[in-house]
Amino acid sequence: MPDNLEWLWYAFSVAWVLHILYLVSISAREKKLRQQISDLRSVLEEHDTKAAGS
Amino acid sequence: MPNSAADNRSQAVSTPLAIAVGGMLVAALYLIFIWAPMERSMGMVQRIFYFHVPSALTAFVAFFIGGYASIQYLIKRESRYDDLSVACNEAGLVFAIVNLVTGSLWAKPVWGVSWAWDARLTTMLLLALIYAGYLILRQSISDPSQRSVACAVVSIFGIVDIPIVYMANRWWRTQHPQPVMFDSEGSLDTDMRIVLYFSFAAMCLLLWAIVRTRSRIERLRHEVEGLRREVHAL
Repeated sequence: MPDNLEWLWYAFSVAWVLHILYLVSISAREKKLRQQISDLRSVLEEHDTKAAGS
Repeated sequence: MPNSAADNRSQAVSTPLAIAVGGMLVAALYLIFIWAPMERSMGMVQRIFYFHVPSALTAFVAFFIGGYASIQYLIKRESRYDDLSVACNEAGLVFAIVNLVTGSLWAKPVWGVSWAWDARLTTMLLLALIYAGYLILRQSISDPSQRSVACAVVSIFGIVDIPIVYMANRWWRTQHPQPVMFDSEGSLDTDMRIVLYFSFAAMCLLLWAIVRTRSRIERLRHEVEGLRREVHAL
């Protein structure tokens, strides 16, 4: 019976690496967007504070 | 802030869902590598089948939901359907790529070649290329409304290929093994069938978790676009 264990290992590794890379990529995208939202809100709040002061 | 309540609700589901996905995937690995019986002619390499086939089926589920969401978008023009469509189609493409790569890695020791241009493999590759095109199209159209409509059309076009992929080894003579998932002849051992169905369930749960996260990214993107407009209007 052929073992072919290395091919099973390659396939298993590729499947998991692809899923993990994708999960890391969407997690990074979410983090970047949350940072952008925070920055934009700061700009708006700063403007509102200046407008209320003047 | 209207999004904070939704974020809290989303967070309340995310943690149990992540635990459930992790648990199911670990259980699937146990079933695949320890519990499933050894196939007599192929040996260990046959176990690729337990994540190759469920990857394809999960991709089909994702593309079908993406296509349904696209139809709903074209009817109702609500951005949540476009968000769901891109989330499903992007996740589906990842599962389709996993299916194609694991298939090639199974074929090399079993067939002696990594790829054969037979009907099943070619139609599956075409399906992956359609959804890769869908994602490229999303990047290339700047107007959000035009982008959503064009992508919805491609998404609907893509689901037409799914029955062709599924039926390819019934309609044409192919090198690809004959269907075992929903056949009535019972060509698959019961224990193998249990492992196959369990892996499929685990991957569907993983798909659900990915789609939830990916849809949330689209909502955040809309929020960024709205805030940018407000900042530009200052």
